Amino acid sequence: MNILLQDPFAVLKEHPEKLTHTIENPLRTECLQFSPCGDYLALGCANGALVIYDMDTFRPICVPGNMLGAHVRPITSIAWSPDGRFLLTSSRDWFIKLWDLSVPSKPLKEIRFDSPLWGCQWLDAKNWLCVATVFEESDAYVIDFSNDPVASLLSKSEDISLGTTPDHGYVLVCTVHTKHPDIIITGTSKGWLNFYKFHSISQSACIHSLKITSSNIKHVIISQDGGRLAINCSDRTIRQYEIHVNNETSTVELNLEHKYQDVINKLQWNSILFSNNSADYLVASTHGSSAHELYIWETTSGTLVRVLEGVEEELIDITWDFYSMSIVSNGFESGNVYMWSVVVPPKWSALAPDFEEVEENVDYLEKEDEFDEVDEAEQQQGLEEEEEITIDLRTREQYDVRGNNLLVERFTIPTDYTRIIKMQSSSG
Amino acid sequence: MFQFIAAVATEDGLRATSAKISPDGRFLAITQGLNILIYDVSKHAISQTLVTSHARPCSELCWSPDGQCIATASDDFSVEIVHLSYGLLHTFVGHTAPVISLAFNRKGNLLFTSSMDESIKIWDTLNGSLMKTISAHSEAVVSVDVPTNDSSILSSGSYDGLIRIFDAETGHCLKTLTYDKDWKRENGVVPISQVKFSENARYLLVKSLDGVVKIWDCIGGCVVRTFQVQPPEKGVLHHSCGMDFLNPEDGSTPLVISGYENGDIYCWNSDDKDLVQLLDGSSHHRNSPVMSIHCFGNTMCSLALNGVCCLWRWE
Repeated sequence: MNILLQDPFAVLKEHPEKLTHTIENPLRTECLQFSPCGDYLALGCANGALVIYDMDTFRPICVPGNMLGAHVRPITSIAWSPDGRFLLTSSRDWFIKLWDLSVPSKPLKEIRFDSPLWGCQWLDAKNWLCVATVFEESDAYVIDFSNDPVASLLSKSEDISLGTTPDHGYVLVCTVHTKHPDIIITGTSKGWLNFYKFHSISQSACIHSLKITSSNIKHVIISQDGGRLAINCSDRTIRQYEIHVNNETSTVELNLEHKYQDVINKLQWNSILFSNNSADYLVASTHGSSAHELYIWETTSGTLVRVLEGVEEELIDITWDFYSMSIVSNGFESGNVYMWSVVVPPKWSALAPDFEEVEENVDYLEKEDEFDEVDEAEQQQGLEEEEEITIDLRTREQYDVRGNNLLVERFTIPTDYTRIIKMQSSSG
Repeated sequence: MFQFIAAVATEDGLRATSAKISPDGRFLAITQGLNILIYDVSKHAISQTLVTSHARPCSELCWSPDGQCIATASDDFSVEIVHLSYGLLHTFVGHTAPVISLAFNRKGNLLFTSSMDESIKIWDTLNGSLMKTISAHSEAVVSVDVPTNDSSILSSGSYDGLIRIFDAETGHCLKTLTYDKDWKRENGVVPISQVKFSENARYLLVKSLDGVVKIWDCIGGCVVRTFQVQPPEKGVLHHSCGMDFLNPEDGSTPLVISGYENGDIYCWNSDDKDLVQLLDGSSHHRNSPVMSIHCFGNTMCSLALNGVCCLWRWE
């Protein structure tokens, strides 16, 4: 609602510009993720702690696992459920944990693997399914959390029947198609991209497989509308594809749109992220101690539109809240968290509605009807007419001006009253 | 039509200023002097009496969105948050004059308070600290409101006759609603007594001390409905009498409900401005000014200065 009343030119900016906040995190942030509507920011820390910050106050409000069952090694990924109530975390301590933020003191469920985890993501949050990638495994896992958690490898049965399976290396990353939630995409250490169609935990089929490059695939991301795919490889290139998935015939079509490289410094990219809806922008963090910026490209033309600066260290993970238009990233050395936002300058004319802000002096010219006597009866009639317009006091807006859905469920983390009481007794 | 359900037995004669229904509709909280009475709506009985540590009476109270806490604004310049079972959680000291009005945001992590010291303050309710002070009025700020579903804005009404809408995050003023005609009156501006957002936050219900209730279009910045008691002199207020929207559970047109000095409560249809019902002040409120009106679903509660609190049901 506030953006309806602000300067439209400031509001319509499609990416943030200024470094506005720094959150110091002594536990060293390894990865971070905004809650679905940007109410909260979850930080995964080097010691295994998961800390949730409230984005109104920029202070920690919840530390899941503070009673029991927190991770003991760095957290590698965080995934929020769409309603903002459940969180998945994967860690180098070989565990994936599922957290219910209405009872955050210990994990709701957890599952142990035989080696560290690269990452995890929701496959179907309603049915408690998630996908995960594990260190030195040739395939991704599907995990069912609905009862006792069970994990099962994505099967490559069809390839085996063909006889000659090329060596794909280890699976490093996986993601779920945003529009076809049964399509899982994995990327391997030898540059292969595989598309799986998921039927059930024990049954899924590889429907498409192609070799992008010969080096590691570090990230695979897909736009909200499912039309764009980007791959970050350790060959210092981000490849952006147009993607069409036909779910009935199980065919996948990929067209290379752009390749993004740092031509001068030949830098690798730490992390990549798309903007909302049809992904008009792509943001990436740079690898190496000499680079301290985030790069933002326009995806249609492939041109660099903005470099987010102001930080004195290398940046790692990125998350983007589209409701408040802010980008957050964590520093490699300090583990602090940096936030860039759209800064809307105060509109002084809002304080006095009869005044108007002008850039420079304007010569006064009397308007034709400026000092005309207005007939009081006429004026009264005008006001009465205004009162006959139908008004809707109840229906809420479905989308904000940035195209974000406003009617989604937003879970509020319950206030930790025992903490307030503890603070009271320690200070008093 | 409103049907009378129950009268809450409060301490007779002790001045009462504010009554609010809890977010789940099960309880009613009433400030009476230094106490807060919690009334169980289904059992028709006072279930709990909270004693605040204020030194002077409270002007207004407000439930936290989870229904576990009550915040009170007091004439002793302070604000308290009391948990129903854990007791006092925070005392916010910082205002330099009586605190008049207060509102929680949707998540319950921020509390907005307004005071006679002409400022609005934003408090962090978990850590108990002051976040921001907004000074944008030139008289006592007597009312603040935050939309139920959208905490990005807040509105304020002041005795300086201005209604302002602020960005809750930055504290910048986004819009000022004033009525040119009000400024042209020979006896000066008309002080605002209460502001209240509509369900979708696009409109603002505003009551001024001349007893006129208006619906403003927040985006367009114009008055779209005016409700007035006839004859107008009858509506003139000395106390800040309450008002609220009632959003019927069947989804039909909201009602505008407004209380007056003699205990009368007027109910208008918000669309065609028809007077739907007039609840006579002599029978239930014994002609005492209606200080507070609060609606939840089809239930309305009205509280008079003499401590008489009534529950009504819209059918």
